[in-house]
This record gives sequence, C-alpha cells and structure tokens, in this order.
Amino acid sequence: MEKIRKNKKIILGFLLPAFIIYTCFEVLPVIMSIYFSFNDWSGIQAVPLEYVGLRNYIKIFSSPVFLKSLQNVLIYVVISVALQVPIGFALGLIIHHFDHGQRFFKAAFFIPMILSVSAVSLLWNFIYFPTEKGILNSFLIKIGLSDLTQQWLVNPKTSLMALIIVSTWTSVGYYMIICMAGLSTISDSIFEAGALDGVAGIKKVWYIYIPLLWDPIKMSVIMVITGVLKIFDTVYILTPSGGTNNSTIVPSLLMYNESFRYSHYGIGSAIATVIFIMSALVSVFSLKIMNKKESIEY
Amino acid sequence: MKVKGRKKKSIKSIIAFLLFLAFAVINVYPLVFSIFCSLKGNLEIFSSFTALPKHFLYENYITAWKVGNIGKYFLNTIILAAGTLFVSGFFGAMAAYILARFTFKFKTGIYLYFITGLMIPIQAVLIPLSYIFGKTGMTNNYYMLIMLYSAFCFPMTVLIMTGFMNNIPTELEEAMIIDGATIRQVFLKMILKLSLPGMISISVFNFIQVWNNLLFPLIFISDKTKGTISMGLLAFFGEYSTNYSASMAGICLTTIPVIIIYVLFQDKIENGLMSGAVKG
Repeated sequence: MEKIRKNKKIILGFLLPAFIIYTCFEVLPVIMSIYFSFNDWSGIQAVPLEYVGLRNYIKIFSSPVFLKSLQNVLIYVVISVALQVPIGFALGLIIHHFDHGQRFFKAAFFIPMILSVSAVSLLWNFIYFPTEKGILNSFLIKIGLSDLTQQWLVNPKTSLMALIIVSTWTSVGYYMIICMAGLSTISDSIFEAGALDGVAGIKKVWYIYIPLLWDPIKMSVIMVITGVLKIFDTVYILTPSGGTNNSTIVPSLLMYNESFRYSHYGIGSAIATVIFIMSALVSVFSLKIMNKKESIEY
Repeated sequence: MKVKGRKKKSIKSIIAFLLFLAFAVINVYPLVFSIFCSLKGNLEIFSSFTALPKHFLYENYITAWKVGNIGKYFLNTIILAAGTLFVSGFFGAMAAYILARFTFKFKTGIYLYFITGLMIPIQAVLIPLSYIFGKTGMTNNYYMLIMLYSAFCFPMTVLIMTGFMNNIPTELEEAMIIDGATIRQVFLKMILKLSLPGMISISVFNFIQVWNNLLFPLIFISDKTKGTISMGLLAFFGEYSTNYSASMAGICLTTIPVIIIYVLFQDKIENGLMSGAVKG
C-alpha cells in the first residue's frame, strides 16, 4: 500500500487532467491578462499587440469614469455588508425560533438566490418601471406618497441604491442559511444557562448570539465583499451603459464596455488586473483574519 | 419554567409570527406578480401591474417558448452544465483523491495552487481567452466552454472533495488492494461511492455557477442557436421589449422549473450551496 501511495505514474495520471484544464483555462489566461494590460490591442486578429508600458494604468487611474466606478463599488460593498449580513442573520435567528413553518420561511427567502440573475434582474426592471404604472411607483401613489415616485434606474440619485436593493433581495437568503447552519452547531445548554441568568431580548442577541456566531458572521462579510467587488450581471442588465452620469458604473461593467464594446483591450485588461488584485488582496487578508482563532470556547 | 414562559408569550409570539409571515409573502411577491403578468394581455398589464389576470392568456407562454426559443436555451444550458459537472466532478475527485491520500513532493504546493483559483474572478480571463478563442476559431465551441467552466469549478471541487476524502477510513482501501484490486478500481468502486454526499453538494454548487453565468456565454457564444438561458432571456427581452406579457412568460418559464426542483430537493440544495461558505 505504501508503495502504491508513492507511485508517480498513478499520482500523475490522476492529477494531470484537472491540473492541465485548470492551468490552461484559468491560471495562464490570468497571467496573459496581466501581460495584455501593458500592451495595446485593437481587437483585430491581424494587428499585433503593441507594448505601451504603464500607459494603460496611467490612463485608467486618471480617468474620472474609472475612479467613479471604484467609488461606486466601494459604496456598493459597504451598503451591501450593512444590509445583507444583519438582515440575513436576523431572518435566520427568527426562523430558528419558530416551531412551525421553518421550511416554508426558508424557501420564501432563499428562492431568489437560486433563480438566474437575468430572470431576477428583468423582474426588477418591472418593479422599477419608470412611469406611474410601474409597481413601485403605483404602490407609492396608492399609499398617498406620489411625491416619491421616481424613475428609479434613471435618476442618478436612486439608481445605485436600486441596484443594491436587488442584490440584497437575491442574497439575504444565503446569509440566513449560513446563520441557521451556525445556530445548529450551538448546544441548547448555553441558551438555558443564559435564560437562568436573565439574559433576554437585545441583550441576548448582543451577548450570546453575536459572539457565538462570530465566525459565520466574519465569513459572510468576506463573502459579500468578494462577491460585490466583481459584480456585473445585475448592473449590466438593469443599467447597461452604467447609468445616468455613470451613477451605477462598476469596474467589471467598465471593463466589459471598454473591451467588448469599444475594443480598447489594453485598457480593459488593466481594469481586469485591478479587479483581480482587489479580489486577491481581500481573499488573502480574509484568510489571515479567519485563521486567527479568537472565538470564545464555551 | 419553560412552559410558563411559553404561555405568557403566546399572543405576542402569534402576532410576531403573523408579521413575519406578511414579510415573507412580500418577499416572494415579485415572483407571484411575474406569474400574474405572464397570464395577462399587454394592455391589461399596463392598466394595472398589480391586479389579478382577468382571463388566463396561455398564449404568452407559447410565444415565449416558440419565438423566444426558451426550450432550446434551456437544453443548451443543461448540456453545458451536465458536461461541466461531469468534467469538474470526475477529474476534480481524481485530483482530490491523490491530494488526500498519496504522498509526494510539492503536495501542499499543488493543493494551494488549486485553492488559489478561488480568488480569481472570471473577469480576469475574459480578454486573453477571447483573443485566443478568436484566433483559433473556438468561439461557440461547447467543448471549450465546458473546459472553461470546469476550470473555474476545480478550486472549490478540489477543496471540498479533498476534505471529504480525508475522512474516509484508509482500512477500506487497504483491504481492497490486498484482495487484488487496482487503484483505479478502488477509486471507481469505493472512493467515488463513499464520496457521493460530497459530490452531490459540490455538483449543486457548480450547477448554480454555470446556470447563473452570464459573462462567459455573452463573450464566447455568438451563435444565437447555441445561447444559454441567461443570455437567451436577455435577447428575447431586448427584441420583445414592448411585449411585456411575453417577456414575463419567458421569465416564468425559466424560474418555475428551478423553484419546483428547489422545493423537491430543498435540503440538498441548501447544503450544496453551503459548501461555498467554507471558503474564505
């Protein structure tokens, strides 16, 4: 057996298929993308790449649209973390305490998560429909708040928030499930001990649940951040050009438009590289945080 | 003590329960509303988005199915997903088996090499790949797309499956080897079977990735008849942007099967998606 476990033929034979596919289709393209970002290419196959040094990076970092896209994605990240994690965990805590209907409630909040992003975004397109017939607008008129009706996706003041709401609607169910999975690992004796000590209400959430669920909470925050940094689908479908005055432009959409609409492949690659570096930094940083075991033993 | 507390709280908790129920219903309302709209005429939609349909117009579904080619897109997506699940699942499990059980130089290095892929966003590979695919005429090629999707499924698959296989007792393998089985037989007949729960979870996770992916088909599929569901829905919506009821029917045609599958396999799907939560 020990001999077999060191047999190089077996090791290579089993390992190579995955290794080759992964290297050719994921790792090498990333390296090429970084190389592309130091070149200019018009998208025409016959025209060769032209080396331009750091020019693409200088261009994007002095471009107000790119800086705006960074600002938007930062706002997107901060608000998404502030909405998705607390709402998701609150839902999880509430549903966990119900004796009946747990499956129904879980389904009600989780289903948006598994629907295709296109379907979800097109659906919200109807909710944000710009005329007074739109669902949101007609609802506002019905309850007597007709002053608040908006062209939600057109108005630069509301468009980014409108997109964040769509992302939140789709994702809270996921954090709810993570919360419930975390809760199922906590033994009841802790809560009974807490009840004897008279801990209840908000105090119970603050002193018992949050410390006990600290690991899933940290993990959820990291997942929201890495997910939102590369957000594309929702933004692309609801505001294909990045909104009025670039109010909803995000780096991924800008990269897509620059490369596949305007054939500025060098600029596109530079933006792609920036997105990659941001995701990588967050991942490495988060690995460090997760590996620090600070959770309290009970 | 517990019983007394319950009685006291009962009315309060019923009210809380009802409020929460209302909130849950509001949350699924957009889905209900899409079904209503898909059964209405265009004029009826615009007279009021929110009312119940007066007559059920099933024609919208027929339009979406025929003109929107939803059936074809569905099939295409299923083919791509099935191919990806097979390639990433089978080869991923093979690699995971080696990483979990064998000893060789650079083992940790290779494991980390796979895991590093988790931090690579798909945006980072689009431009070079479209360059290469364009140059070699591989656009619209499903084999290449399956390889591409699989490449992005490997990191999570290797991570989950290596963890899973580490927990399979080694004695079973040793017994099979002593009985004269080859390592290939051990892998196919025992390891894969015992890893089935993990394989199901990771397959659900990978399936959702393929199902939801919009960027890959948008860039690597130019032939309309080869489009995926997310892309097809967008195209249909673009062409029929004035026919709202048919668009809604198109949306429903893609969401309803997913909802039915979810209701049938709720626990498996939730667990599968949870496997994504171990990353970080």
